[in-house]
Amino acid sequence: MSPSELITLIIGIALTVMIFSYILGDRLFFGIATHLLIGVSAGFLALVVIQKIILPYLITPLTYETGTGFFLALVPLTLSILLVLMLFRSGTQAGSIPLAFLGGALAALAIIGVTRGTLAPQILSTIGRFAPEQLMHETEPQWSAILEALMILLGVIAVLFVFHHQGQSKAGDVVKPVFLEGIGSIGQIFIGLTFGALFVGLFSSALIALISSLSEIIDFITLWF
Amino acid sequence: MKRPLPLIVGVLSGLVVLAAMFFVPQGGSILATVLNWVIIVAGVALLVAIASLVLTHLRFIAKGKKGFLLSLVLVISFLATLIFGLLRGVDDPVFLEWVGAVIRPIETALLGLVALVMMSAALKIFRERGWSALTVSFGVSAIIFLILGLGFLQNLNFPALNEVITFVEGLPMIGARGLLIGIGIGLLMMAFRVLFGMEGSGND
Amino acid sequence: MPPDLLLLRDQQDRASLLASLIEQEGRVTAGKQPSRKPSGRAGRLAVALLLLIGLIVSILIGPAAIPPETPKSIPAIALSDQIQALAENDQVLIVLDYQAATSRELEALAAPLLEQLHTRGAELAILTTQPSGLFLAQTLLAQAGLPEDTQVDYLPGSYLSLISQAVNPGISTTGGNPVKDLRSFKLVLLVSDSSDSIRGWLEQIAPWIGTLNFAAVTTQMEAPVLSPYFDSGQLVGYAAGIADGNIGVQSTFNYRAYRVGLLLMLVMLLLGMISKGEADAIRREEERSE
Repeated sequence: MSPSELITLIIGIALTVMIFSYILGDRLFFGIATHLLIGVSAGFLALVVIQKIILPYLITPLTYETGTGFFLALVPLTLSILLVLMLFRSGTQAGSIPLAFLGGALAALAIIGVTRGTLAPQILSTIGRFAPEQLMHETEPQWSAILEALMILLGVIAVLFVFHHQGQSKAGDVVKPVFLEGIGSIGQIFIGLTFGALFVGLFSSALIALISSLSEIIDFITLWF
Repeated sequence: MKRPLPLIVGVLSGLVVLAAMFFVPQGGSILATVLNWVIIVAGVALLVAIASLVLTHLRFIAKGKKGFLLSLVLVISFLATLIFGLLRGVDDPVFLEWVGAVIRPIETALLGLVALVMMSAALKIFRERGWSALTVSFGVSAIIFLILGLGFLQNLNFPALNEVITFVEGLPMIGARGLLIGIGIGLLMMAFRVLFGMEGSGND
Repeated sequence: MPPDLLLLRDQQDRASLLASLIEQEGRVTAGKQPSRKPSGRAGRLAVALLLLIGLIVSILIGPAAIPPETPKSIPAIALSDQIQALAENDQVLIVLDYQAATSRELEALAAPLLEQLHTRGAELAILTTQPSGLFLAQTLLAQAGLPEDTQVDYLPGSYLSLISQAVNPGISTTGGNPVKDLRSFKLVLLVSDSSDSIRGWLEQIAPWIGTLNFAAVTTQMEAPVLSPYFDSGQLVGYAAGIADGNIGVQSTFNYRAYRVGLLLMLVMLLLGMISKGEADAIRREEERSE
């Protein structure tokens, strides 16, 4: 192990221990480590943005003496200046123009993207399970495929109903027929099943990270014995 | 009252992007230009946010506010990274190694800490939330996926059991699809509101 | 969960969604819950120490690799089949889009796949959409046994940089965009810890290029959200979770400790359910006696 590798290893172990001190109720070392993370991450992010976005996309075109490239670069330059003005109290209102530009463009992308990339394929996939070639094998009905298709359709409708139900219950307590309450409960069961899987997934990822951190500390200690 | 200029800019940028995507391939070059601007403006917005963060902590230090030592750690580490990176270049392997040596262990340990917090949350979740269709199915699902995660059942290698496992593993897909469609519809409505100038996209 | 622990992208959103849905549900059907004092720090400490001790003992016992016979999930098998179907010199775009926190999990999954792609003679173009990818890529490349001088380019704006190219192949890329021809790739492998980001690629790029296959390597927590995209055929496969990274060789990851952790969580959930059931029974008994 080279000296630089050893130093980075020691730094890593020290920082890991500082984070784990949170378990014992410590806030100082935990705070130092998290603020160090924020500081280094912010510095690194600023560097990457300057060198990989601002310089090649904004500054370089401005160095062109003539041509459309130069004039086109004036638009983001103006929007950027308005944004920078946000740092000063008097410029807060000017900053809303570039933010509105971002919001509008991203909203338009979302309309096309969500429609073509999520809503249409997901709805078609749910309906596509009822295609005759999926449900029949020669002349025999495939009961497992039929049940699966029905279950998925019912589940998706019930989950969407929960969304609707939530919006309504926010507006005020509305008494619903038993039938609708039943659909809502089915939707909640499917949402619960998904959240259960997500919960285990998050715990699993966190557990892998915890085992990796502990393994490094144990490996480091065993280095000296 | 919404101010007209940001509203006009927001609606206009949205309509230009929509038009460019409808009139393909002619609209391609306009789309490229507008999206380039989006990337630049988003980058500058990020820089402004970072500058604002650092300025806030500098103010904490200047005022000697409680916890200013932590602000000092943040500002010093920010400046050290920035100066080191400017001197060596952002692609320099030594610089990247040092940045990684700080960020990687802290982020990994923080995620590891989530596992510890989730353990105590698991003990309390039913006591605090009570029984309902959602919590019961959540609990049953979590228990089943934990058992599957252990891998013992899969290693038994019974074909019938494997079919049941495959079926159970597919169940969260149904809820996820419903959630995706629901969120997608919500997002679509929000996007239309922005485009019709009914929702603030920086204009309020 | 304390807010300062929810630093990771998506976790905060997911936690608040989960909390709000459970809270909403509690209001509708469960009736008013008796107010309880928050349990003490000692309890939390005991539970945390239990997990820590369990894991430390498991690690100290010695290395334990995942059993080679552990089967992969169906999406992971589909991903493997896609890679097998690639011919020599087929171009594959690898997009690294993960943070340092999840790097251990994703590297264990992605490194064997990259190695497999390299061995098959596929031409790899590697991009990172996250600044942290610039330093994380070094570790991944080393684990995959790829040459040290393999080029890893930063893609500013992620898929936003490629939309115009996807819409119109005649568009020349500007600035420092490293992708010159998106249509030349046979497969795009997204190594990401964010289902939102993967969804972004599937929504903004995939619909414009029907011939381009998308696959993902992701964390286990994102897998349920991606499953509908696999079912609809938008993703040709994905690998997520410990078992999907199993390639039948000795791994440095301690599988025994992982199992102990899962087992302890299982016990905690069951204890939580039992204690709630017991509390309900006592309350009912008290109500009856009154």
